[in-house]
Amino acid sequence: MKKLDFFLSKRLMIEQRYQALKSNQTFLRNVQKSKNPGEYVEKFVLRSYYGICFFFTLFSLLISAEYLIDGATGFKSFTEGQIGFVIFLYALVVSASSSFFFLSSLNSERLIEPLTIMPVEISPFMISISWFMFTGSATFFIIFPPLIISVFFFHNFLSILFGFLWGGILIFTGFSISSLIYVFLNSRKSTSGRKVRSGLTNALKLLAFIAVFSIFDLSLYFPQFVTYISPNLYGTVKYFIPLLGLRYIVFNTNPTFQTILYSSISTGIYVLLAFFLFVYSSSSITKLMMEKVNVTKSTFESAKKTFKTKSKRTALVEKDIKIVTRKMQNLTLMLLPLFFTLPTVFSIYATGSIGTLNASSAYLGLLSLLIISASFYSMQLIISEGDGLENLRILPVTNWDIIKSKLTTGLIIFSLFSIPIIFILVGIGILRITLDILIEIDLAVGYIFASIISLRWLMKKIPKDAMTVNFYSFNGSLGIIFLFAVTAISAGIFPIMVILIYTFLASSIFANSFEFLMLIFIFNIIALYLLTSRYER
Amino acid sequence: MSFSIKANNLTKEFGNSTALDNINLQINSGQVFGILGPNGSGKTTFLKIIAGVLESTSGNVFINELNTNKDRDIVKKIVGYVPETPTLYESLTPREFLNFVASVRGINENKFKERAENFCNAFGLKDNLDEPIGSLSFGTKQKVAVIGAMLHDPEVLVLDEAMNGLDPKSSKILKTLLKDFASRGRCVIFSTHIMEVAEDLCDRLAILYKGKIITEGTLEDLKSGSKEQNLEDIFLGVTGQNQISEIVENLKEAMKS
Ligand SMILES: Nc1ncnc2c1ncn2[C@@H]1O[C@H](COP(=O)(O)OP(=O)(O)OP(=O)(O)O)[C@@H](O)[C@H]1O
Ligand SMILES: [Mg+2]
Repeated sequence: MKKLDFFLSKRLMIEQRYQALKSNQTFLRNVQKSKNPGEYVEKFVLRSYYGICFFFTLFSLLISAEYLIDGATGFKSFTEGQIGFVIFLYALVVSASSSFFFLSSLNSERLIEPLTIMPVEISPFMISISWFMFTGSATFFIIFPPLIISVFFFHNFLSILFGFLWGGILIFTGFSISSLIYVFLNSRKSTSGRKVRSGLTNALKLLAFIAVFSIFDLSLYFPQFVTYISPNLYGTVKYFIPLLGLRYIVFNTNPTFQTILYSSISTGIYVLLAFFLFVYSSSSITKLMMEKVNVTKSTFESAKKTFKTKSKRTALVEKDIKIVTRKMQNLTLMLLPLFFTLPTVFSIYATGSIGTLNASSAYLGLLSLLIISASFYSMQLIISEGDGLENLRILPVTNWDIIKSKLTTGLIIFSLFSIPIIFILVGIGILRITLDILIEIDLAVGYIFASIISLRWLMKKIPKDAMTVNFYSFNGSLGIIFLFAVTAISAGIFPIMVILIYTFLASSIFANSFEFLMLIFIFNIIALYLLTSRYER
Repeated sequence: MSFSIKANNLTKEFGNSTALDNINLQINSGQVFGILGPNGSGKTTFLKIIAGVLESTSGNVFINELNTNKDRDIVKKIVGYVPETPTLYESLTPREFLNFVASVRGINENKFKERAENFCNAFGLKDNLDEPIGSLSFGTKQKVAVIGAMLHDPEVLVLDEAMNGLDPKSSKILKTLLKDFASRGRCVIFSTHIMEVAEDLCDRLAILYKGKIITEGTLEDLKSGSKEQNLEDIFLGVTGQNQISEIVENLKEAMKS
């Protein structure tokens, strides 16, 4: 690694944060006040890095503690490696998704452009090292707490070594996966017959992407699958299955020469594999970014070639939908909530036997999709404005107009996902059709309420003078997590209230789903009215 | 209807640095008003405040009774603004973008159709109307931004170096359009670095320097107040940038060694 490469990587990482911070008045004032502005910006970035590391540690500690608090059974599941599975999987998912945001913002902020004209050899690792400096290395803090707890209880110091190596394998692989997906989605097609073919290839790409993710989902998310499969692993095979093998490699409660040997071999093999994948994906992503910066895909037919006007709200929503669907990268991000939550949704249905499953639990299951979608879409729809934000600043569009349009767009996408799920439930005879409609209404109202809250928070975070917005405008990963918490509270508060009322009245929430759903609906509508009446005057 | 735009003690700070320093200025309708000034003198900042895009730190701009800080939403309706660099939605086509602007501004559909057709014909945009904006050339994007700002026939048209990147024919057309605009009792405010454009177009001029207005008036006013006879020399004179030959000599020396 040459000094220049290191310098460029660091520059890239800092520049990315700077783009989002530069319109913030307090930040600006402090930069100007400091004797060495460059140094101040670096220090500022470093501080937010510490913040994220701290937060990840805390978060992971909470998850780990949950197992320990559970007493004997919890302790048992900790030792049986479920915690390892959950935490390491979480690290992989965080790494993959933040890498994707990292890459998209490199592209949309045109940060690579200045480098393409420099007469120096750009290292194939420039981008990945820049990623590691902030995003990648911070993710390591997710895996430390359970490792330390494990060493504390079981005194196997090899846990630290193996845990660290496996953390590295998964976190680096997260980056590799995201880069390869990014390269795959953005690689150039032949230009001939562009319009017809590109629509088709886009659809195929998207399908391939969905297929890969579904396999990932299916094999890794089902908790029963894990508990079912992991005790049944026998012999040496169990050491060689990624994630599932962590129970024996990292959280090994009585190490012997043999177990350590197998663990070392397995870890060695995967370190090598991850390393080669990382080298390959680093160079492919660097090549892609250096070759064609900021390509806009011309992959659409604009159907009606006339000048036409619509209502303001329709125009805003239509524009949002176009921005999202025409950029592969935005479209992909829209699918992420589905991948992250569907397994949980279905696992709720799968664990409950058909007898106990009813409209109330179906609603509660879908609530997780609602929470993730409401927070994630709100953010993604605002980020997708990019420097187009200036257009909204110029036009007579208020923040409330923006909130309404993002809300509508998000609701449309959310409905596209949630309605089919409900139909499936009706189809397999779990739900009655009347309740089905009620669930849909409840979800829609809940979505509107939760996303108005999150959109308002997001819009407030954008400095008044800013003409552009990106992922880091909301403090990056930390922002997502905070936003997620806010959304979870605003979406969950009424169901929880209703459940509490039932508990107080000592009746079961499952007794009467209709009542349960109606109550949530009423609470939500009142809250929504109170929230919006201030604006809609 | 005649109206005026007044800046009262207008100040804008970015953090601790002052981009506009206590500006007082009146611009009347029926005028093409030019704002000149070296790089970083505050032109863009000033124009953005007039257009209601930025908020001032203290002091105000009034368009008649409207305060551009407080009545932003009304101000934006009567102002058209062309930013310094066109940041349009790259994945939309020019046609879709114009449809979007017209819809958000609530322009009558027939009027919009007629104007859009005319503008696009005039600027030779016909062939590019259905390509994504991201794949257009810089000048073509600039045209889209200019048309977008004029669609609603604004009372006040604010252009930040709008001639940049336009080919000779288009910039000629734009100049004619701007004059026509002003002659219909509207107000055109624009910034430029091209002295010929300023001389050719402006009824009045102001020169900004380090956030302050150092001179303001008609071209004749400026000429009579100075010993120089062309705008370029006046500009260089008042902004204290007239030691150019000395700088060039130094540069030449430096390049040799
Ligand atoms: N977003 C911002 N943050 C911090 N400072 C800014 C910002 N925008 C402008 N400035 C500062 O305000 C001053 C005026 O900038 P402005 O862009 O208005 O100049 P200008 O006259 O338009 O220059 P140019 O001829 O280069 O377009 C400059 O010193 C600039 O550094
Ligand atoms: Mg400027």
